[in-house]
Amino acid sequence: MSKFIMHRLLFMVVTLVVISILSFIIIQLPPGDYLTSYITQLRSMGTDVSDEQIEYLREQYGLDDPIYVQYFKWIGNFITGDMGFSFSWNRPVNELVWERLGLTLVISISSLLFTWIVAFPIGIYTALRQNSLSDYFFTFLSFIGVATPNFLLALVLMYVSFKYFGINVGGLFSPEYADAAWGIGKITDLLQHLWIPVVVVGTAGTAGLVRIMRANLLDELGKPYVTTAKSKGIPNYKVILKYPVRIALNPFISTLGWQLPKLISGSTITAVVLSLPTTGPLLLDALKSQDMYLAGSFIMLLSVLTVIGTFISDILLALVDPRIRYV
Amino acid sequence: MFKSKKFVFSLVVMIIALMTVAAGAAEIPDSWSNPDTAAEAGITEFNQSPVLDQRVENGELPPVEERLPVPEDLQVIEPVEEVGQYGGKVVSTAIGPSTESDGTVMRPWMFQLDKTMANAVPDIAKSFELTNEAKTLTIHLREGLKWSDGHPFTTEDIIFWWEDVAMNEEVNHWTQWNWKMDGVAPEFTAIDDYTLKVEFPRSNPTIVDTTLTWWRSQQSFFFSPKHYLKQFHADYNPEVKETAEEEGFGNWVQYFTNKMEVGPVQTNTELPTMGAWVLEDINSSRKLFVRNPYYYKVDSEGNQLPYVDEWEITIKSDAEVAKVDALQGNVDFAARILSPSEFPMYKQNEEVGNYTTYAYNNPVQAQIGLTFNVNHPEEAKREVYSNKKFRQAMSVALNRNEINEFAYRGLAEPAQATAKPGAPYFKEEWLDHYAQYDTELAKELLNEIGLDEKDGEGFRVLPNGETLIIDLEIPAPGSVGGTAQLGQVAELVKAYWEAVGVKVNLKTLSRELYQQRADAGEHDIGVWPVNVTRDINAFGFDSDGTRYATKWAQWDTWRMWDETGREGEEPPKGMEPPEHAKEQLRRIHEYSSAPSQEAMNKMLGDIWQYYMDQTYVIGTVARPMAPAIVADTLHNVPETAPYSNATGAWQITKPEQWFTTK
Amino acid sequence: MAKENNQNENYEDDIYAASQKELIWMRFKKHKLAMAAGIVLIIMYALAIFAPFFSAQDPHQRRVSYKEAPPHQLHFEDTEGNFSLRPMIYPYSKEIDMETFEDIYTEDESKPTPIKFFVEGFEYEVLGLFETDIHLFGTGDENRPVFIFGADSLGRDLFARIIYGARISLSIGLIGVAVSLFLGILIGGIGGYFGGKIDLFIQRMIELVRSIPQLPLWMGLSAALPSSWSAIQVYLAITIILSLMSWTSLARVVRGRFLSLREEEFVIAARLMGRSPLEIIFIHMLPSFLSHIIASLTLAIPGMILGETALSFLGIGLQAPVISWGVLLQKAQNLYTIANAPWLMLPGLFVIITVLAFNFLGDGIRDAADPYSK
Repeated sequence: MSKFIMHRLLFMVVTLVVISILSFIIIQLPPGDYLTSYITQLRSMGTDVSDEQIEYLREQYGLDDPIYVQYFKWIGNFITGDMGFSFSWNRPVNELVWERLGLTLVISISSLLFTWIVAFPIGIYTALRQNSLSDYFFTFLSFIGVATPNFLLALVLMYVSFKYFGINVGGLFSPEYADAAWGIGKITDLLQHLWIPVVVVGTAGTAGLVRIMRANLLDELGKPYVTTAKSKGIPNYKVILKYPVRIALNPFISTLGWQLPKLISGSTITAVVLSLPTTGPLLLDALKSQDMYLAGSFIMLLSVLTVIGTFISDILLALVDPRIRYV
Repeated sequence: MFKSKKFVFSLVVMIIALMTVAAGAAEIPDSWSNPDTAAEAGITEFNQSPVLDQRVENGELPPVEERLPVPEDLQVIEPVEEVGQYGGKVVSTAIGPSTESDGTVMRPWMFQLDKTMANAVPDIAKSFELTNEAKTLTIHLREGLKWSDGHPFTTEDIIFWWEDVAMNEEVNHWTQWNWKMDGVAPEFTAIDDYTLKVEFPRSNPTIVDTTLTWWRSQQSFFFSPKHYLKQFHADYNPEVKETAEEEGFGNWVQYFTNKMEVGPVQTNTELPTMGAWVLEDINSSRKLFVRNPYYYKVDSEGNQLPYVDEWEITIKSDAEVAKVDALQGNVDFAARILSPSEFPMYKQNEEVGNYTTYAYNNPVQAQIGLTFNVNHPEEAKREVYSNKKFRQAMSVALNRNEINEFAYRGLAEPAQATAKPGAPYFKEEWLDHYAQYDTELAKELLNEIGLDEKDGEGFRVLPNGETLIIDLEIPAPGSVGGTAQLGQVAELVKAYWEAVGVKVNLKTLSRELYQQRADAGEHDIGVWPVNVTRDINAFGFDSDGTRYATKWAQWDTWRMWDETGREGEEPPKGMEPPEHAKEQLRRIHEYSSAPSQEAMNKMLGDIWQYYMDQTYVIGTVARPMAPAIVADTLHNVPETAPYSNATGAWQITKPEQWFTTK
Repeated sequence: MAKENNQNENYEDDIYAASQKELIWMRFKKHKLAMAAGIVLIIMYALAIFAPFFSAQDPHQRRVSYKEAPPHQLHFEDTEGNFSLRPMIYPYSKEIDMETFEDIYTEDESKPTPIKFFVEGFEYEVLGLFETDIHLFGTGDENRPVFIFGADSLGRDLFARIIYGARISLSIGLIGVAVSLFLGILIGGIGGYFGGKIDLFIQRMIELVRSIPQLPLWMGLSAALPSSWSAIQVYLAITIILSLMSWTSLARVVRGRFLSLREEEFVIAARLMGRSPLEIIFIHMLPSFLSHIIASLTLAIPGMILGETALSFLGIGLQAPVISWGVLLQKAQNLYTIANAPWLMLPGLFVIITVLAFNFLGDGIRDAADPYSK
């Protein structure tokens, strides 16, 4: 087992190095750099920038160094925990990311819980009533969530909530509560704003889970031990809940690790439409304006989490399923 | 048809104007073009916001008379409607860290534009004189001016900026491009604490207009708080080099400019400023500004401005969310995020949101201007694009009325891009110059210049047999400069040009990519708003964004380098322009040092006539309405005003005299 | 009773004698939802392929007087109460509300316009073979267009634009999965077949690709596309970019299957007979779980369709003047549209229906093809 772990750890490091190089390249891919984007902004505001200024700024920001020099400077800092400096926000990246992390996690975890709470019962129910009308109906329902483009759904819900309930669910807090201290009022306000992103993001994930749950359960239900249990007279619900469901849950536990990066990046598109102060929109803006350090460090953060997540998943899987032990 | 649409538009504008007048319209007072001083107005007693009373009592702040400039120099601002009440918070929203308040409301200037946009009204400055054939500029500051931390504002701050920032070898690249004339820098001398003298190597009659009023001088600060900034400047504090590295900056200059804030976005809460509100708190979702106790203006009853105590900007990442805030009445004002095509929606929600929609006017000369690159690298295209008949043909092929209807809901003016109406050298006929919709004329002109042969699909071919394809590149919606409107107009333009047989390849790119190609002179056609409120730079050969003749401009720079003794590195040679363009370049060099205003106007007239004849810039619609949402609880906001980034956005409505009854 | 028994017996006989394909088909038919989905998809693709025929107006033609006009109401009764089976519409007359500058459309009842079928309209080419101008329905009058889904902000027929847009949106899915298919089978197959170190390497590579954050990759690649490329080239590039991320799931499935199939007798036999690895992979192993692959592909298509809309939304995918569902949705993505022109969101409905259909179809195929399920 320990050999297995060593092996995986080594591989993790290699993956991260490759990804760091890739990320850096990806950010640099669009022509120009942060400066061109900054200059474009200035020009659109009616300000002129001279060529001299541009050259000077480029030098100051270290953007005229050869690419590999820039890369090493960045990755060197990253390893020591310094994620660099954001040009557009004029603040260290660390500050920006930590600021938004809390709320991102709140939304992500809520969506995850929502997905589970909705998907499991439906999965179980439809497995039991396979090919019946209610099976079709619920499957249909859960699939609508995944079929609707998130951005459209988010906008429509926002509009409905504004027009018919008079609430602006954009952002996470109403203006009155933005800097208020935490209390019942603020929490209620947060919940009011939270439901739309949670629903939008959550429904996208339900269908997949329902399908997997259903399939796994069906597999288990066909097994002899279930028939045996039933014939012994154990009530139906006990039969189902005691073993089959638990086994059907296995894949979820093992895939828990992959949820980690999603939790952190939050659902970017929904967050953009609803203007949530989460990490997703931050990353998107950084990519668009080629804010090198913010984008790069953020991507690295996500990758590190993904890799760790996969690692955890693999360990969990290996622990849980004795069949999967490979050198 | 064309004339009648313009008539309808003017009718509409008149109706709106009448409606607002009937409503007891609050307009920008004429006195703002020439405000009285407190001494002139006979004001001897001054009041302050109750919020500051405590601080004066326990000695934190000097009494109000000592915080204001002396009465002989103190500006009196007549409120738009009535004298306001102190207190409250004004809320607005923005998309991203750069807001519609930052560089404008929060950063006053030496001079401000007045509502006609033709005059520079002294603001921080008290007055100025241009003498010695406009070679000497003397600026008088207001005695008793103070920074937001109480430290006096004097010529020391200007000299500091000039000598230690603009002219400092290490820091210098930020600001002085506007100041060097033919490579020679002017001389700054402080006569005393409140008098500054600037001497130029040659006549510079437009210096106040072009440099010291807001919109041109974003990067050209002219003053900085010396008492605060010197601790970050290596010449005053050598230890800053270490500090800079400790703080994570590459070198002390980066650290210094970070503290000084040379961009339009305010992020440094420690920096003293001259604005009515000072930045107190900032995070990625919100900026909070609070009252500046040393603000240098009072109202007509001697109350120190501003009325409003706090100014908050919430930062959203999406325009639609920001709009919901506006529609719901969660903000006190909004304009930048609005667009004329959505005007009905703003009106529909006025009851719900408790606000009124004002119809401001964006003075832009061409909301979307099209400029063919006459220095295109491919010879065949270059031949065509530099033929003025081609440009004129493409201009009349556009159905501006339709563009107006589709993209602006009829709320703009179909017109050719030209000088500002109202300027002394302006000619009415320029607005109609090749601006009519005449596809027959377009086809005729195209045939005349040799583009009469068509290919298999019916598109015109170049003399070399290849189909002429115009690459029309625009920024994608969502990127900087990209709007849904631009996309619509581009689709329309493509349709119109293809209808007269010219194939168009419409591509959406990131703006940065477009910018790069334009800078390198590789683009086919520039697409940019043409803003010509005060000078002609936007029509110039290598004007920002449009850049239709960069190689000619380069040739001119090379010529100057060659003729003035070939100092320094040889600049690129560019492309030699034809005689008429050389003439124009000469005129442009000359007009800025004209000995008198009349002479200058005559030259400008010639310059503009040339531009119109050549039709380099093809305008679409001009002066669209700029809707603005103003909460019913926000007062002293004028109901009509020019509104655009170039005129300082809201600055022209003087938010310092707004007050809220929330 | 006897009859039932008889039927049962026939059924058993059928199963016994049926080939694998027929077996799968019979099981598939039982899955009603999948059948319905299949029919829906056939209709969609038919609409897309023969889009010009089904459109009443040219999707590129703009009309100022119909800017953002609501869908025409179909009337079966005229103003005098006469009923007719042939539907009829009234053209719109437009007025501007002077206060809000809203466009107000009212039906002009003085001009009843019947809908004709197989009517003459704008010219088009059928499958690049011949030209015609017959359309399924229309008014036959250029100046009286019929907008069954309303018009967009340039006064263009939304219905026509939706079905023209289907051509791009539906084909992106197909092309994209074709690329994923190729990559997935190749890479997964190699790993699964050879096992050992090669497999380990392939596995790691798959994981690496999966760990790359999607959004930045899309943005970076899209922004790097040279500006000189035509719309078609951009379209293909985007398709490939989308499929770059999705081949990994297929690869894993293929690899898993191969690992288990490797030890099956028929494979060993083939190896002993001297077949080359590639032959074995493609000729022997693949067909045994072809249906699984088909199921996976069908389930991957919706991801690509949604991906296309997401890219357009972000401004890095297809843009106007190309017509795709993503582009159409992007124009509807603002408050003003939802409030004043909600019909512009109809492309979203088409996306939902298509995605649902593919999902059910895929499920049905998989259930039917899996020999181990009930």
